Amino acid sequence: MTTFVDQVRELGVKQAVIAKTDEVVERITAGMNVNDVRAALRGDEPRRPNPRLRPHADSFWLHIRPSFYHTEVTNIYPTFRLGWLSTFMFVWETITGIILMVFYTPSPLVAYGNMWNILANVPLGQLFRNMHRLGAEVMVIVVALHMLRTFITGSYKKPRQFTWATGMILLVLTLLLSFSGYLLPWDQLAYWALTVFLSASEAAPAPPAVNQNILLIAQGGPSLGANGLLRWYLLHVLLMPLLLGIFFFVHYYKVVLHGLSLPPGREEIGEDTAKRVPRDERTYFIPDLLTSELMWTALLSLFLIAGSLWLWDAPLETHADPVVTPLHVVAPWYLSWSQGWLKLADKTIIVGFIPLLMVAFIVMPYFEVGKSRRYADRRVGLSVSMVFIAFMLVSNWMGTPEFRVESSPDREVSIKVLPEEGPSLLMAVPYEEIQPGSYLPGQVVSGSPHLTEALAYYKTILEEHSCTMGNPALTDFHVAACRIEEGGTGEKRYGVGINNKEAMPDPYSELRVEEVQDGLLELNLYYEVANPDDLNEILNISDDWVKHKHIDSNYEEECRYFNKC
Amino acid sequence: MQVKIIIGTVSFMIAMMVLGYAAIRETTRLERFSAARTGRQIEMGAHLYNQNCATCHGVYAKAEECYDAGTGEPIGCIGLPLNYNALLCGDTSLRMEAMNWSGTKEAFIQSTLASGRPGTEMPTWSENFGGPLRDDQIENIAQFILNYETEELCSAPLVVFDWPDTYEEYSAEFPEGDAAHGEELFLTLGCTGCHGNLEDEASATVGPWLGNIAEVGGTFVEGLNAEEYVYQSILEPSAFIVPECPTGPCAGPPSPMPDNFPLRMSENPQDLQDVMTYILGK
Amino acid sequence: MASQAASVEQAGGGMSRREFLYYIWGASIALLTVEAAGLLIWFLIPRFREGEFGGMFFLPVGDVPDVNSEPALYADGRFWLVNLNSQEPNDLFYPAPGDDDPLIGVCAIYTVCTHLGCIYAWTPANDRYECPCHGSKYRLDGRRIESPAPRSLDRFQVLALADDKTTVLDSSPLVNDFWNPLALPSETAFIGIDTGNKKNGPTQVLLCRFNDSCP
Repeated sequence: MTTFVDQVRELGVKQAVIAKTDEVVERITAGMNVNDVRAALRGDEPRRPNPRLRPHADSFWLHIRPSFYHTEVTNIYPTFRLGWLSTFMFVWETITGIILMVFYTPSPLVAYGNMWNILANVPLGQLFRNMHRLGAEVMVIVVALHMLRTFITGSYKKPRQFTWATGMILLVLTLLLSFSGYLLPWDQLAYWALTVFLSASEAAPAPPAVNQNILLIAQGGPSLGANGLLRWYLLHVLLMPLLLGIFFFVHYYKVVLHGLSLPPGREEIGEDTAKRVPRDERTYFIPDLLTSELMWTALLSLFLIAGSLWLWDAPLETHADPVVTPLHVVAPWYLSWSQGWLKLADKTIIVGFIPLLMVAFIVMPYFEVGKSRRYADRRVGLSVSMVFIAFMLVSNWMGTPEFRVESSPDREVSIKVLPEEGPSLLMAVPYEEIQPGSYLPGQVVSGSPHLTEALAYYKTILEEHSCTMGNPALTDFHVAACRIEEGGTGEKRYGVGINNKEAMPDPYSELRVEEVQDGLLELNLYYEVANPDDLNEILNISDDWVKHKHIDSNYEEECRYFNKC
Repeated sequence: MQVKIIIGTVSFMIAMMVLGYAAIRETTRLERFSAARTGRQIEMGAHLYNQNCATCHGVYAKAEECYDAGTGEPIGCIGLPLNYNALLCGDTSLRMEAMNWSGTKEAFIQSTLASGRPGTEMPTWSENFGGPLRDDQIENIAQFILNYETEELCSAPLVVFDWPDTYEEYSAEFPEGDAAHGEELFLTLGCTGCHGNLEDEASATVGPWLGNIAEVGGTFVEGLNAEEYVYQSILEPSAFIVPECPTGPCAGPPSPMPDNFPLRMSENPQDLQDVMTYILGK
Repeated sequence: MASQAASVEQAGGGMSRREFLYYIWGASIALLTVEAAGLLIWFLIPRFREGEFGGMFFLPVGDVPDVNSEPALYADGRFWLVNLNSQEPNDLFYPAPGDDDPLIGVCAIYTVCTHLGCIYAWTPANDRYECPCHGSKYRLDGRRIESPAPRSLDRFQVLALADDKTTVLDSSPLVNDFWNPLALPSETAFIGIDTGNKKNGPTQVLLCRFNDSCP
């Protein structure tokens, strides 16, 4: 062990520096000196003993990764790199999440203000928030696809059953992470989505005392409030990531222990040769897979940054209001399937069924019948899974608002034309284009193309919720004839369409615009329905749907993102 | 392999450019969003104002057009005008000075909203003090009210009439009073909100009933007959506070009766004669 | 040496003292874990105070709404206060099969819809409660008119109290594990609503079935 000074005396400064650099590089890489690194970068054959294996033995981060993979699993097929992608998304979410934590406090008094602060006052705040939210949705998709791929290639079979089990736990943790994060903005969307979902826990098939206490613990009180926000925040930033990290390491350890399963056609049935990799079919981690992973990191980062900037925008509705339930409470899309299921069966059955389904999934590999992973031998299993996927997709679609119970037709029109929350065609019309006055649906306003477009949309929606009794409508509508039903009290109900949805008979409707302050417009939707049997009698007047539009509010900007208008 | 290196490099470089682009646009975006934030607060404030404040302060915040929340009938505005030069114009508005407020205008409005004005009809609004509204809702309403401050409002010169000390001097300048117009003003200036109407004693719910003021007005203050008493009561409500009010002893000093009638009637001082003609039943 | 041989012999056979002690220790660990879990659950369950939802709310008896008229909302207590009299029916409170007879008195109805926890609203235009989330509808007394409400609205116990706010003159009758309306004795000065004492509404036949207006 010569010191640096001795080396200088022996070799001269230049040589000594080179030797020292070499030594340092070898220590940093845990086994590869400068020449080894350059040889790896050049794509040369390594010297023997292979220095590229030493980092895997001696360094912490690389000891987790295998030093080589079977060449057949390093292409897109069969893994599609989804496991790697899931991990990447988790790291992405952790980093963007920690950054957002700098500007967020989990108290109902300030959480919402913090969100606006992040959007309006923190440089790149909107970008980071969008990246975190987009990342969360991508992660849910990727994790689900990973599970699907593992099922299809039969990689859950012996000896990998425990890997699958931990994977299912990881799936549940991912969904819980997404669910808990959803509450944090403390806007109407967050508050009510969580309230509805948590109250479902009260429906579990257990004695009411147990259910009520579960609900109390989950909400932190008789309803969602400061304690609830704090609890879900702790779950979101501490407990769930910790559990996810722990189970991730268990999961990945098992993956490396058993090796990545080969494509089904490559092995004998019932055999698992993943760990016995012939020398000529090895792809080493350094440098090939490292390069690959770096490339995918680059591509994905670009996709996520550009997507967060131009394609997609996280919503922020109005402040959470525990006493006002908006008309459009909607589950996050990845939980829409449960809303769909709730429409099919009683909630006690559904809430009891879901944990059973989880358990069934977890233990499934332990009860597997066939040893073969080949597709041709697993027709039944694959068909069942396809049917299940189709069912989940249909349930997801059924859970969307289109299928919710309708309120009165004038409200239905108002919800679409001037929604309570978020931008719409009408709100996104540039301020200067809307002059005070009244406008008919479908009216063409010269010099105001956006307003004309919004009014055309207004007319379309109005037509969807109207029917005609042959009385002259005040604008030319294209509507079907009314179907009349008489209720028990002599009241008539007018319906239209396949499912006899309630409609207004020959309504008169207009948009009234008033400038109440400098730069502030009041938009009011007015509906008037006359009794078709006696046109002088007004059946119903509805004029209480009001929204204000300020000249600075950036609804136009919101509408540019594809998930908004 | 080389393809992957190139793809990776190009991706990172494009990502750099994208981030750079975002950074360049960020300053203007932040300004836009800040303005949008205030815009949306004003929108929410307008909605809250309609729901909670318009019944007393008027549909256009001028304390001129108030409607009963249940029946829709026009009623007297009990509240003070908010869309009002004396409240909103200048860094320190006239109202702030009159109330000895040394903080900001925004704080003045927010604190009035939050705690109300004890001794008057202005309730406590903040949930921190037992009211129904959250802090952010109070802030929204305050932003809405502040948004009434425009150049138009503030550039119009504030007319302050120099009210004579006694009704006798005032009547010399404005001898004729129109009782019919006075009855209208009795509603639009908000008198009915507290004093009810002149016909039914039970209609006065806050302030003393005025149906017999012509007879009893002279008995309250030494040296003031009924007319001088009414004149003083309108222009300086806290100069003398009657002991009995419909709900018990009258509150104050200072009197809950608004003290800004001198300012509000400055543009048309004739109005005072009309109102007094109506009240005194002349 | 002898003792070692003896314990080696015993390893395959009966329990040694050490082994037995380990098992007892294990059992104590298990018991401690169960106890800790129970205490943790107790720690996590929120507690309630008076005037806060979960506690008692006191109202002067003059605040009780008129018979069979629009309900009064107490938002911080999360209940609607209604005054019922089935012998004076009107558009808001009309007789229907399955109602107890008579229903006279005061009820405190929980503002949360029994379907999935949204807050329903009183809709004057239709003289009933309507929930915006999935369309559940209820009569003035909380009986369900239209699904998907699985049961009628929940109620809190109502107490009729004397001047001192402590002497309980009468309390909501419990019929079939549900609070029926409380007819207030004439000396009632205050009513107390115990928001910690909620009973779930019964699963009564939907009212829409009786005039064939179920969607």
